[in-house]
Amino acid sequence: MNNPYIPKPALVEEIFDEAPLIKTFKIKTLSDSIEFTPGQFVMIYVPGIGESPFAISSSPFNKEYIKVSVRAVGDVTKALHRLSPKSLIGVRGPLGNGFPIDKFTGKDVVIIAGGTGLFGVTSLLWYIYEKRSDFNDVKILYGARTPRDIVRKRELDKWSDRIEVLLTVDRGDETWRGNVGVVTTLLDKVKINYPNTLFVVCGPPLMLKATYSRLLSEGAKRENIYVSLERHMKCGIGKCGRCMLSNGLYVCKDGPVFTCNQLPERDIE
Amino acid sequence: MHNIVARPTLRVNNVSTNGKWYYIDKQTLLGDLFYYLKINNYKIIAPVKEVNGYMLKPVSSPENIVLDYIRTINGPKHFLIPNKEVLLKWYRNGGRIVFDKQEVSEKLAFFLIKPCDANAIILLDATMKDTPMDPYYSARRENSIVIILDCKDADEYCFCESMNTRIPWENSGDLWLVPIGDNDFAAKPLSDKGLKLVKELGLLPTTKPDIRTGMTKKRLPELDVDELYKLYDSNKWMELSEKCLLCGGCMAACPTCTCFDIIDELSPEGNSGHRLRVWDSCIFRSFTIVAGGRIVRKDPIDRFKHRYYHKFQYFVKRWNVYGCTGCGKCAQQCPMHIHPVDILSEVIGNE
Repeated sequence: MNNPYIPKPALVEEIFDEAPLIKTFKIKTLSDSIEFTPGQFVMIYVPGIGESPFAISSSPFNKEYIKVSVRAVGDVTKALHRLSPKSLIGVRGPLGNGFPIDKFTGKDVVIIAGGTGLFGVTSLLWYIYEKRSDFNDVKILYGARTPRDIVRKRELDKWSDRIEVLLTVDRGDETWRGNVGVVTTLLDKVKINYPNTLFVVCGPPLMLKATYSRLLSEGAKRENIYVSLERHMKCGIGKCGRCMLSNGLYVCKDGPVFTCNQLPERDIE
Repeated sequence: MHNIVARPTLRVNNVSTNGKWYYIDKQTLLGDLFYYLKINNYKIIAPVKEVNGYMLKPVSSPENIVLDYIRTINGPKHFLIPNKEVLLKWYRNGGRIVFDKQEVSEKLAFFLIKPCDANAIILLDATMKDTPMDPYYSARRENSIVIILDCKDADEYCFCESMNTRIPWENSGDLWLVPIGDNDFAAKPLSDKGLKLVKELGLLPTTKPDIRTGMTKKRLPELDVDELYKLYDSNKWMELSEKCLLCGGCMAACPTCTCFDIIDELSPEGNSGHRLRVWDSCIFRSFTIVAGGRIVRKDPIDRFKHRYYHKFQYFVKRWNVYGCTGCGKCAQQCPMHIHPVDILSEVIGNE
């Protein structure tokens, strides 16, 4: 019987500095590769320290390795930051439902990400980039705290060949010539057919809530707003109970991608 | 609310009281049956009297087994999902790292547990055997045998009759024993394993016994789970939750609570270690702490409610059955004597 608690041994191939406190890890599993759907996540185990969930933030078409980005805020994430290339770790997954790509086909898609929330939609953006003709109009609206906090700059640049990329920062600096303001202000700068567009929102709780309210007030349909949620997890397979929402859904197994009509408002805050 | 993903529901049916019953006396029960299980390498878990009440404990001989009890403090969960179980071992070997699973080979015999506790196993199955299956739980469950002892009496904590758990559910056990006197029982096989026991022991047929019902004094009012969901923000919850000490005693006693933490233990040399499953509770503050220190259910009231909503609403939405058996263990163990029936009656506002 397959034992879902046992990680696959994996090698940290490369580590990149992404932004203050954020590093990106290129990880290669030593046995079989990880095939995943955009929006799925992995549990990464640092032997002896612990395990945490991370969105897979690389292209689903890349079978060679996966990437995850990690903000050093807890024990496991700080331990990951202290690793050097060639370190051995464990990976469980892919886990979770991922985005229902079929439903996005032929549609207008607006992706809205705040801060590290970009990592939750990176695999989706790569998917759309590679299969661009499957979708209609696609935009990514991304907001970071300051220009230094913008992550995946090279990828944003690459995606902009095929996808409309709009950036904003909460606070600019002397070099910043772009938009200043929270991510929802970018909605004022683009034309969106709200009732007929699919939205994907990923970011910190306040940003989720503000974006969600704004989209609804503009006429977006609840069932067309997808959010990717983050919760503390231990098992990742719907047993340990930690990520259970206040309607009984497990973020790890029923999610992490939900439509807003699946979620009680108290869970989007 | 369209808030639950479609999935197969659990169908629970009480076993039929019709069909063949067999006679077994106390001597055969604690003699032949006990030793039959023992020589077949079962680890026998049976009710014994302890300082603070009755407990299910591994026993090597039948002397201390009690037949006349209402409730044990613990339940089958305590053996099917043992606290501090090793989920995996790891070690570094040269330039490699190895993650090893554990083998579960023990055969458990739950000997003379109550119908509510046997039914609790079905509720554990729902969570633990849902895809992907928990391999440790599933192996123990597969290897186990369950002998159910029916109830002669109920106390002020019991509310099984409101939860439809008074009578064993199909697949909850293997043999159902109904007392028909102080030292005599009618036995009904509930599975092939149970039928084999009856045959091996050479039990003779007897008539269908009277099954005692109408014993529980505590009764849960009619519960409409959609109505209950609408009462999530009811003011009642605040005053009710203020009584709770958030000690987690209810979780420790509960035969259906499955929440756990996974922690690491490192060897002194630092090149090997293991990961342990440790029981945890949604009532604890640390349970929902997320990256950066935010706590999802920060206020005691939210955690208090979560436990009730999980058992009486979310579980029903997912599995079509309550996540509670009405065994009364939580109420008996609660230092503040909080009883789920009282809480729910208050919230839905009728008696």
